[in-house]
Amino acid sequence: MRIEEFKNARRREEEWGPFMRVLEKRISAKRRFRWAPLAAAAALALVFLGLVWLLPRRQAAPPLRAEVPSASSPVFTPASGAAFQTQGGVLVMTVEERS
Amino acid sequence: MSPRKAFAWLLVLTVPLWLAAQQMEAFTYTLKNRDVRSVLARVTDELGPRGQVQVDTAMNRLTIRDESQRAIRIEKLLKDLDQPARRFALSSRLDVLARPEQKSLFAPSPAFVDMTQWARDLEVRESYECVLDLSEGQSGSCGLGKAYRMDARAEGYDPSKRRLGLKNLTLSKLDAGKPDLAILQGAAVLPEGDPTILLVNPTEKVPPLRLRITPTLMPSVTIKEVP
Repeated sequence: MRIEEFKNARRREEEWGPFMRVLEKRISAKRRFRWAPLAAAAALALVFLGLVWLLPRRQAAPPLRAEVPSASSPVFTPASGAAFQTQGGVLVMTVEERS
Repeated sequence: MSPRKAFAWLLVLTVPLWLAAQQMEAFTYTLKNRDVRSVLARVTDELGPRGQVQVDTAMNRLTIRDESQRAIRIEKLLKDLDQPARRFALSSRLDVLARPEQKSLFAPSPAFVDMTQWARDLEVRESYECVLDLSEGQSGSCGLGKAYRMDARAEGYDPSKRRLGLKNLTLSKLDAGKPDLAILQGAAVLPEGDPTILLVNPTEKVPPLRLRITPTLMPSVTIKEVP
């Protein structure tokens, strides 16, 4: 009787062993990655929050305040003294020379 | 067809077209990249005698009302102006010229042409070059040898006239242990791609100088490098 039981057990082991091992591997792999969806959701939420924070600031950046010269602006306007457009260029006279 | 009839037909066809061209048109333009106040002077240049401009600084937009043709032209100008900051390379060359024999340049003749002739013929003692890399709205400086420095702030660029504004363009003379001496200081509007020559009259402390500045618009690189 005991020999029969032993044989049955061995047969079960031979029949179910490989299947159980594969199943065990799959279960452990699933356990290992059980946090993955949560982590992905958290990463997406972080990216979304980052965009929500960034976009208004990007639009709130002040537009460029660089005066486009008018068509009548002279080539050179000295802070002090005088400038004259001549054939060879703009002649700049300092205050010292003028006085 | 008799000439009189042909003339009548011509009038019938052209008068409505002329009237359509004279019609007033209004449009609103919201600037995305620039402050509305920075383009106002340039836009006002293009307005006709009946043209009107309304500025909304809070919304950064302009409402233009003018003749159809002008309105179309102004809208195109606004599109050209409303671009992100452009980059420029300001290549500068400073020639230190020999002092003239007479004390004042205007002693022999008051004509300015003489001065330019004088600057052209005078011997160049030293020459320095530098390139200033500036974006619109940015300031920068570059050394011209050890004795001179050029500072500038790039203002806006007008692509229709190809002119770049420079604010606080300063040429300084550097003396060790002494404060910098500003030889030339002011605002400039320079043609892009062409040299502008500034001649500085000599004083007791400074020899005659010739400053040549050429602003070059740098292309905006958007194409990725091919591996």
